Amino acid sequence: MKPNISSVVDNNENLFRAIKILPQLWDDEFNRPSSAAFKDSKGLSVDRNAERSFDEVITCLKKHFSNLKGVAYFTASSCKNIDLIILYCPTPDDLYHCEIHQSDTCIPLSKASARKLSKLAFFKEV
Amino acid sequence: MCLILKTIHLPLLTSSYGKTNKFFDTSTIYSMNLIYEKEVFKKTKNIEKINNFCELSDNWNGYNAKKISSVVIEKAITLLDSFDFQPKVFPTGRNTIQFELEDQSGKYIEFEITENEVEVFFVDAIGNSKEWSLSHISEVAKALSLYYEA
Repeated sequence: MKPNISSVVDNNENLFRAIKILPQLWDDEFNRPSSAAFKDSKGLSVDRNAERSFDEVITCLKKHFSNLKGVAYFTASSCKNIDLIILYCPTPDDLYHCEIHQSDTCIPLSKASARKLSKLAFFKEV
Repeated sequence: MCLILKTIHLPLLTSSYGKTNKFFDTSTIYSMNLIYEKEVFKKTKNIEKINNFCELSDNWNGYNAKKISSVVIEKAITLLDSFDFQPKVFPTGRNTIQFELEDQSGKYIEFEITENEVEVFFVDAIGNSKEWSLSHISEVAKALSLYYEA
């Protein structure tokens, strides 16, 4: 049975971005992901919490991504605080898929925004 | 498998490397030699890392990233010659390679190498930032001066 997921991402929801071991996207010196980890060709793909527990999200991401180093995560509100737009856009393979856009008129994240995300994200090693 | 070899150019430190003169005592020259050797080693590792990006296939990050083009890879290896102190090197999910320098004060500079240009993003120690594109690889040195002198 499909979960009933709101089209609006709640401010308190976490958004998760998987980070693989290789190629290395982790900055060992500053112990955080590089902003490179938050640059996609279009919107930044993330998974939303929705009704799941934190551990359920991690388990799901571990199944989907091979060679995972860990998962970077941040709240929807912290994204909005840096003026980013969050769109819920589920796919057949991923009911929890969202995209983060720079603005209503600009999809790819700016370098400044990618860097801000890399600095504010929390990280869970798996 | 592709392999792009580049000769390693000596950094600016070699202006004093191996020379004893009245301006540098032997302990300073020894330290400079160590720094030089360390940067040569780091450059070798960076070239190896960038060459390995050839092996990345489509969807390498799990988010549909395309493989990094050979044009970007070759440009990145060429660009390393402009750095006396080696940057950190990362691939991105948008067919670019990113070089980063950062210090503990928060000062940061990033060079994002695309097929058509090099885009620079600089943040000073108090958080002021600017972005611009380089029209020629020779402008890298000027951008690095901005970082080191900030």
